[in-house]
Amino acid sequence: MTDYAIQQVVNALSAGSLYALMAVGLAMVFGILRLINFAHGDLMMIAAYLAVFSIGAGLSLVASLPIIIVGTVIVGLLMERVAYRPLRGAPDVAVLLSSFAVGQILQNGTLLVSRLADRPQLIAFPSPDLLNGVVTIGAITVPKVNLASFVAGIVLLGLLTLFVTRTNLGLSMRAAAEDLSSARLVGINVNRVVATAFAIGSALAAVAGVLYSVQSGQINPYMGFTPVLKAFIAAVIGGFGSIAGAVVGGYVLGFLEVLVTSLAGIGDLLPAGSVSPEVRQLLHDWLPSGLASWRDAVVFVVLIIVLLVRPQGILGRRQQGDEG
Amino acid sequence: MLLELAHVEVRYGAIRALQGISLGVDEGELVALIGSNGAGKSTTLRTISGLLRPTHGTITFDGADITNASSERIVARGISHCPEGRRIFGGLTVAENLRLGAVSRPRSAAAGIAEDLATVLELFPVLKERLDQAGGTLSGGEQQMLAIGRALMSRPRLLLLDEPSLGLAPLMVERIFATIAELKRAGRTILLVEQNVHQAFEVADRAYVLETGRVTLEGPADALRQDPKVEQSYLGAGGIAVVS
Repeated sequence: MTDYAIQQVVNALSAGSLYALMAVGLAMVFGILRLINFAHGDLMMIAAYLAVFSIGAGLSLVASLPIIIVGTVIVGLLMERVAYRPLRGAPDVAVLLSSFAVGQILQNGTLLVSRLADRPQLIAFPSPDLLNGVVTIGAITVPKVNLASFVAGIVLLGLLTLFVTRTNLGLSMRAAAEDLSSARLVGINVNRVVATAFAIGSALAAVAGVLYSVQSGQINPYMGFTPVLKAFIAAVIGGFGSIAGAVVGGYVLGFLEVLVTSLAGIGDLLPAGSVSPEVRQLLHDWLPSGLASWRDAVVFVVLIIVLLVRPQGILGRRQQGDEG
Repeated sequence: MLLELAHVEVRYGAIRALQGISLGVDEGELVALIGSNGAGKSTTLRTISGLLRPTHGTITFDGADITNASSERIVARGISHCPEGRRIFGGLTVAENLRLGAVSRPRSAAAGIAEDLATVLELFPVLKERLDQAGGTLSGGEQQMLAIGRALMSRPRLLLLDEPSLGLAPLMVERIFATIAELKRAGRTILLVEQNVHQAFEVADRAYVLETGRVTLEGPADALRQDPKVEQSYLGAGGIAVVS
């Protein structure tokens, strides 16, 4: 029972790390611009394709990582410059629609490129040896990629924390997220801060994209949709616009999902005699097949409860001084 | 003149919020901008600091045309704007707020920045005790001190103060005006927007009266104080003009 629990905790931390890496990018941009960048998931997809092409060209994962990250960051910066900056000050809905358009363009563009390269729509992801297989510690067996996701999440989010608390640019980013016109008045260059948020968000999405692709084993041009939706939920649960909230929301979501799926096995794991045979039978009959497929429904129910009970999210603060 | 506005017009859509304003502030002067709600006082300050773009007219600062400059360029040139309603960064600590006040200054100014931080903390000792506290947890008066301190951290040549006494308890209003007088004594150049006309005239050298986007009166503060029109409209019979 405890081994099973520990294993599930590792799984949850791994899933949570990916959600957190994605959610942070959404939250940073939303915090400053009030823009929900739904094309953020497509940056993951771009990273995955860049990985396939550079690994396919014979590079190791470690060697291709800089290419993947730099390439994704360039796409993220272009996105901001071309599709969002000209719309600064436009109604929120216009910018939101622009983000859907950007997503479509990236998806169809990728589709076009892979057609021209004579590749199928669904490509198997060439899992690097580094992330293949499992790590066994005592009785616990964890896929390497899960461990890598967890470590990557902790390290990158740790670096991000240092950046936003120690550097002028990081502080400026938080200030701009709190009050854009005050940020202007102290002399913060808003364009630079926004570009930084996009660059960091893209880099984190790139890492998440690679790890996600290793876990799922295959990629396609539309793979960014579910992750961005999950990241969005994570950010809302945590408190939208707050970086810390996005991280907390990401891990909450990870634990929630793993909890729902792993509960399926609980009937067989309860110590003998702790519940009556009828209860055990009931659990066995209802939980296994039932719960796993209800995972996303449970997540959305939790989202609705959070919105009802605490609309500002776990770490969110109620908006104040929004008139400017 | 250090700052000069010539025939500045600003529109919010179809509304002409400023209808050709001309005013100036000289080095070392404290100039007050008074007028009722909606007269265009805050709009004037927001236009000077680049948050709003004039549709007409020019703004020059120290001989340079800053009419269409970006806010960050204007701050870097030496204009610091302490906005109405304080607008500090509530989720950031007092120390972080002050640090951001100096964000426009080059890395090479580190020594000067440390010096200015010491000056600000000397001016507002209460901030020293609260350096690691989130700005949002401060009282209204303390937040105003932080806002002024933050504005001073860019070592401005011109300080724009927008309604620094608004919404504060009487004792704190006194404290803020004492600070403004102190800043003036130290040789700072200040453009002050205030609804508290009595107090503003106490500290100001000169004043402009704004009505619906136009300058209707201007002159030395002492002279304006005697003006029957000003007395009637802004000072009131009982001398109570603190309305917001």
